Amino acid sequence: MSSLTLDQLILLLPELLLLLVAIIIMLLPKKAHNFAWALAAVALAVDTLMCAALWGIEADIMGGAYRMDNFAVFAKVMLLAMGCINIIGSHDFTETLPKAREYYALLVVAMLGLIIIPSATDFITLTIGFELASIATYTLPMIDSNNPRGKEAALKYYLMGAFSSAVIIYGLSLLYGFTGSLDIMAAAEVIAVLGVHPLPALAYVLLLVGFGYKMAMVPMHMWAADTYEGASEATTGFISGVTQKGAFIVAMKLVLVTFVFWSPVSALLLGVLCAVTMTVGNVMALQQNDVKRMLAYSSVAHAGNIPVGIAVGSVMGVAGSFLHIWAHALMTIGAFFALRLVAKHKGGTTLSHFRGLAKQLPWVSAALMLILLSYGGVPPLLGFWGKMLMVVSAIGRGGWYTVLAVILVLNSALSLVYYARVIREMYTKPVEVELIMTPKKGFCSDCWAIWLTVALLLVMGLLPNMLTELASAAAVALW
Amino acid sequence: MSIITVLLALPLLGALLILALHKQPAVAKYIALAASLAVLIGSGFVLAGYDPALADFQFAQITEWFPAFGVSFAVGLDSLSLPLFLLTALLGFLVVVYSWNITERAPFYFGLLLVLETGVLGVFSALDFFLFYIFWEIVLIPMFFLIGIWGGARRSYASMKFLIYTHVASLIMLLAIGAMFFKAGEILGHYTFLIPEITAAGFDVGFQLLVFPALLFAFCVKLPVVPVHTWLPDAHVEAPTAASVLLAGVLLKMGGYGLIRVAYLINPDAAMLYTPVVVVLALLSIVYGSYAAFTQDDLKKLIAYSSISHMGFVLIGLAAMNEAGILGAVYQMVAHGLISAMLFMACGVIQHNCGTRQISLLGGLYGKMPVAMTVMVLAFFASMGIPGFMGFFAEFSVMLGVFERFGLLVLLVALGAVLAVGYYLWAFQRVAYGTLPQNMQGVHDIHWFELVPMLVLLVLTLYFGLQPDVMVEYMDGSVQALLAAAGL
Repeated sequence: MSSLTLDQLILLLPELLLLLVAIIIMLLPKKAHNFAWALAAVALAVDTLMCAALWGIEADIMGGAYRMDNFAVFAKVMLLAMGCINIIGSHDFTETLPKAREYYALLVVAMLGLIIIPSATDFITLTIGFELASIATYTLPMIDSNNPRGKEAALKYYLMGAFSSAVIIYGLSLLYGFTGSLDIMAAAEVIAVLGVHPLPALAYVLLLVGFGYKMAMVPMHMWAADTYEGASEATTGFISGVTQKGAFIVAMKLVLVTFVFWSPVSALLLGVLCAVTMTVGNVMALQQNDVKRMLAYSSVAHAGNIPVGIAVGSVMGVAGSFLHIWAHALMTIGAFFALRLVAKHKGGTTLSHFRGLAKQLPWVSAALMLILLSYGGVPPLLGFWGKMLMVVSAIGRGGWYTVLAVILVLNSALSLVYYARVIREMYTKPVEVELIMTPKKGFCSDCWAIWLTVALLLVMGLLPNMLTELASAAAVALW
Repeated sequence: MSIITVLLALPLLGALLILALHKQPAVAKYIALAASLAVLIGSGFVLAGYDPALADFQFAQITEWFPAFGVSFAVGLDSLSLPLFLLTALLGFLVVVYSWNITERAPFYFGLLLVLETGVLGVFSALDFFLFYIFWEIVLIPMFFLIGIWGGARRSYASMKFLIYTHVASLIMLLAIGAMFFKAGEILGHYTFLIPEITAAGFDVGFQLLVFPALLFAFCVKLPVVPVHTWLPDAHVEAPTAASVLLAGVLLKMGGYGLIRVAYLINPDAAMLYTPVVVVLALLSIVYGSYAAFTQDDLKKLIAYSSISHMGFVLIGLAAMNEAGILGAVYQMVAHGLISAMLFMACGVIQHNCGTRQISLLGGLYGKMPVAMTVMVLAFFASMGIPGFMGFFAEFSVMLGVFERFGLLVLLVALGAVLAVGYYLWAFQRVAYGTLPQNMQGVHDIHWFELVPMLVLLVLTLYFGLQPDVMVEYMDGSVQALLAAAGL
């Protein structure tokens, strides 16, 4: 174990900054809501840039327990950017919140946990990062005391999270017992030498199940719909759009590094989970009458889409997964802020509230339409490219991957049905529910977040090259 | 930068301008008119600068867009796409004129028409599969809204059905494109989505046999072919007239174009082996389409079914795989584009003036609207393939090709043409003659903005019917290319 030198500390500055900001926010006076918001948003923006500046650097720090490479940097920038957008949009939500300070502090701490994950080289660091992110978000759904369903949502999220953490720890202990190491790479070497053995196989299954809970993959998705629906929109956007994405980074390391030796079988297991998840998610989403719950199930379906690229395991496939994580995070954050505005102005989010919305809230409807089209994978929005890369890479590998590609494509078609239904209600139906408040003029943080996400979806959709090249470079660094 | 890129951008810019000025709904139609007129004039220059003697893509532009993945922004026109490109530019302009009195959410309406025009022009000029797919998908969204907002009573159902059918088909196409991308990459040594390069790769028969059915399915939904046609009558019945015109006039041609450009030119061996399947599908479309047209009481539905029958001619002309057949198929696409546009406009005139399209509720209209009825009967003549109109040359050429290849099977094809005479004349008789219903005593004749587009189309249909050589000269290259690909 070498000690931490100053030049290594520089690489840790993003993490340290987040820690500092979280502490400062907690020390602020209770009334300083605006300041807390601005501080958190600026800190995350600066952090994003700081991480981005580390692109191309490769370094092992803290005795090899923490690693900076293109994979880590790409994932960190991705998570931080999403967190930043979410915080920008949260201003109006926290205005009336008595615990606004705590809200921002928790978000920043969760971000700290999340950006530890991509750099972790052993499962202990990884679990610490993940738990930090999870524990910080457990209370988020109930932070708004005006939301009667928040407590139920938080409790479900917490119980399932705690349970899955236990499953993960159990899997890790089996892995450690068998390989004698919790290092992500070293464990892979031992597995490769010793070959097929039921113990690490059990460890793999347990880990997949445990992180499957976090990713909300079927059949471990039961908490997701209730939590996403019950929580306030701004927090749902964060949980589904940002926190949940950490689990996909873990899945990449788990499937593609530690257990890569068994790749045909282990990938098949993940592939089956993907197929089941997207199908169940879409079928459930089809039956929903409440758009918020529909999007909750659509998040479940997308939790099945994203790991397809991981199951495929090629550079293009992983890049596709990365692109889809970007897309889904942006769409989810944007969509839930749009839902917040709809709920605020019309008193609910059932389909009937959306009838004729284009006449009442034209700009929100237009943004939501673009987001929904991107969800459905309509080009040239970003939601299309990730799916496209994954489908093409799956076809490129041939064999059962082709079946996976077909299932992904059919599910994509199926999902467009319920997305288009919302668009249809907004644009082609007469108004059914009148506005309960007139839209206020002036600063609207939700609108900022929505239009930021839409702009990113459009720009990155029209110019997907840079993002894909970066994602490919990140995927290469994984091995 | 190629002139095609400019032409693709123009309608889109027009749509953006309309969006920017959406507070003044009255100017929307002028912007749309200017943009589509500019496209029409620009495509006139394209036609003037096109050299039919060259086999290559002309006005080509290939700019790297997404090199990490082999995607480029590549556009260009050859003898297959040029006529369809011009057809789109023409109809795009004419529907704006025809929609002159639309006031309901006018900026949105004209903006959608322009976006739709960009999409279809893009499909016909894209030389990169990715770009092709993107334009292909872009077309769906404005049409979904056009049907869903300005449509008839069951517009919700029809727009959704349209979206689902065509979206599933395009996703199946996407799978096939992905497979061709990888296979071509293996053969060529580098990965590319450029259509000319993938066409030149030369796949083995085993691979073609796998890909061709997927492509056939995808394009047959669009064409449409019985039994995957059911979205079309619903979409047509509910769509506003302008959307119907574009739907029948150019959107269906996307199916035919894709069939030739992608399915046949890239997989010619499989196309030959699958000939029996294609023939059965085509005959089914021709005969079932005409038969179903007979029983329709809704004039628009009748025309929709006749469209299915006429697009069956395209399919069987291709299946014949000889010069007359392919030329007939390509010619039929343009002919049907012009004629069906006329038919749907005529139908729209009746709908707007009489308030109904139910044949059983109409009658004796000749006395009240002589001009409209005259134009309509001429459109009927054109569609049933009376000599002198474009449709005659196309159908005759197809039948010639079918006879050469399949012999007496041509009788079934001819049955479709014969039935067309029957249902059109019968429909016309019931609409134009007989007693005028009480509630239609006050109907007035056709508006100028409805008449002008129809007359333009009529003149073109007659001109190309009497002088087919003018257009055949431009189409010959694609016919020869397809024959060469199939090794015939």
